[in-house]
Amino acid sequence: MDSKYKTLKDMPLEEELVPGTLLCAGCGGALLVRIFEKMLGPNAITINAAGCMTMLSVFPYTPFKSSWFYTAMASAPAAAQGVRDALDMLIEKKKVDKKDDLKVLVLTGDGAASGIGLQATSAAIHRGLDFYYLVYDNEAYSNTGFQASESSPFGSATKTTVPTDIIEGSTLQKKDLFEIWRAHRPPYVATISPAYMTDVMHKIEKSSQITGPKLFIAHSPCPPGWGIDSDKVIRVAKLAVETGIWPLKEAVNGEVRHTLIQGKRLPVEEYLKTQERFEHLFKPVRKEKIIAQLQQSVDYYWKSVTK
Amino acid sequence: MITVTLRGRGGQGIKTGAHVIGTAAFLSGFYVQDQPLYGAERRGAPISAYVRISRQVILDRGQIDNPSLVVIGEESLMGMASDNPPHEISESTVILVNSPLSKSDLASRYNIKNSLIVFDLVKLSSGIIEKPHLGIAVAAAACKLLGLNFDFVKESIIKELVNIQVNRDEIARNVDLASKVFDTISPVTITTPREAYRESGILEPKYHEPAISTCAITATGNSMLRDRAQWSNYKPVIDYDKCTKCMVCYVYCPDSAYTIDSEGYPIVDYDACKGCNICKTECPVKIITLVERNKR
Repeated sequence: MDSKYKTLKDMPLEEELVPGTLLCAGCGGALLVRIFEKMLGPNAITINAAGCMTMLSVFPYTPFKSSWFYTAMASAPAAAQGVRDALDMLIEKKKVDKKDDLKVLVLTGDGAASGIGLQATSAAIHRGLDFYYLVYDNEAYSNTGFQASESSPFGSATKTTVPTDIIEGSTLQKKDLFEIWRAHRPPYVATISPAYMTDVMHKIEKSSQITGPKLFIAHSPCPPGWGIDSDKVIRVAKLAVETGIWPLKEAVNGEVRHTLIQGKRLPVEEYLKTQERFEHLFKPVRKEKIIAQLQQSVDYYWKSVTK
Repeated sequence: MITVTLRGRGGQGIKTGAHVIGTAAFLSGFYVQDQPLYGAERRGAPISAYVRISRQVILDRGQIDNPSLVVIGEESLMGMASDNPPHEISESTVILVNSPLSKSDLASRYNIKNSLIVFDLVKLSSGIIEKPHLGIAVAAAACKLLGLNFDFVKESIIKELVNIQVNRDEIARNVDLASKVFDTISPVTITTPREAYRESGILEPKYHEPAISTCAITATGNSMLRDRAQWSNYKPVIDYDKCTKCMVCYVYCPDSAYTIDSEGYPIVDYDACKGCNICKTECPVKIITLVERNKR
């Protein structure tokens, strides 16, 4: 497809989110929300499940130029259905002009997406609801102090992972939300990274042509939770892609295509050692076995997709 | 009852500092209460923590008005209009500040008439620890003012730092620093302020229409009206002579603090900038430098 977004310079200059939010400095999730809102434009309504992005609008202030609707953790997709239906009915009754129709965006964290709100999302995809769904995946419940979520990767330390003799980090695997969603055969599902903004713009542009569920999983480095300096957010996101830990891909009607395949991948430890949550893998002694295990799972993934 | 309020920024260890004071007082045989208070945890934003120390069982709860001692982690938090929540202080409140400035400079700059104690953490920590734990240092200073024994302070620091998984070497360095801070501070008289008890009574909630009683915001994009506390002591400054207009700084700003002018140059709104410094790190031609705010 010929895209109108070829370089960063093609990014729309109109901001839909004004400054002054209470989010942490350098929030990777906030950056992607900003870009997403820009791409959707002023005719959008954001349905926000409880999470870090709760801090966007705190009464009586809002950074949104468009509408914002706040829900409990599990119910954002259900609220999106209600909003979509209401809009459709009002348009049908000619109470709202077709040109004033709103794009419905569900905004949730990984806790709500892969844990608490998974069934509501599954149901909404199943019904073929016409909406965008953006998960800012910071791999834990960051807003409440970084407790483990179903998205916390193997080996990462969180506030609720109990250290054992073998490993100080999580012994559980990160849920593969992309595959869970893809199993529903939605028209569009993609992973995005803040370090690859043209890729983000391409994917949003491509999905905007599609009616039905349009699902995005965004790698969102979290400075306080991951233990990185706030200025290193983009560097860390880039390393995740360069090491192959965060594959950039999309699936149209279930057909997977990788939007970036590296010729040579960096070793995973290049990514791991930038973050305090993986520090226990290197200090006081290197945990060779676990690092090798993490490398193997990444190698296995890429072997299975590139053969 | 002696009450202490600590003010700092998320990530500086103010909460741990309150724990250290609380535990040290507890080990000295007092009844103690200590708790942090913040909107939601977020790095860089102002937070408060409270400690109550008493010989009797403490029945008070919640935030402290009119504390005996206010501990301020860094100077930028002093002149802030938007305290969360606002602190009432009286003439008898003692103020302890970490700042490189002198006592008289601070007193005149912020028009302080209270008893003021100033210590410079950067100066005190040089040669002991590279990245000092601010919470520990201010706690040590506060404990000295509260008249606690350093043995208990030391025990308390070790206990609290072990709890947050700080390694042994770092703990030892922080204890060294704490002892140095402890010795530097000269004691002053701390009083128990008169408790501002209010008529309690029982409030009966009245029914209000949902249009009034629910949190609906009908304005759009009004968050710039928030009385925003300064997030960082540094701001990014662009060298426009070398700028290539590549827009990287603009694209990667999470807070929409950048705009592009009619000629294509990026412009930073310093009121909106939280000082995450992503723009400085990502700038491909390295022309963004950090400049201290409030430099006088």
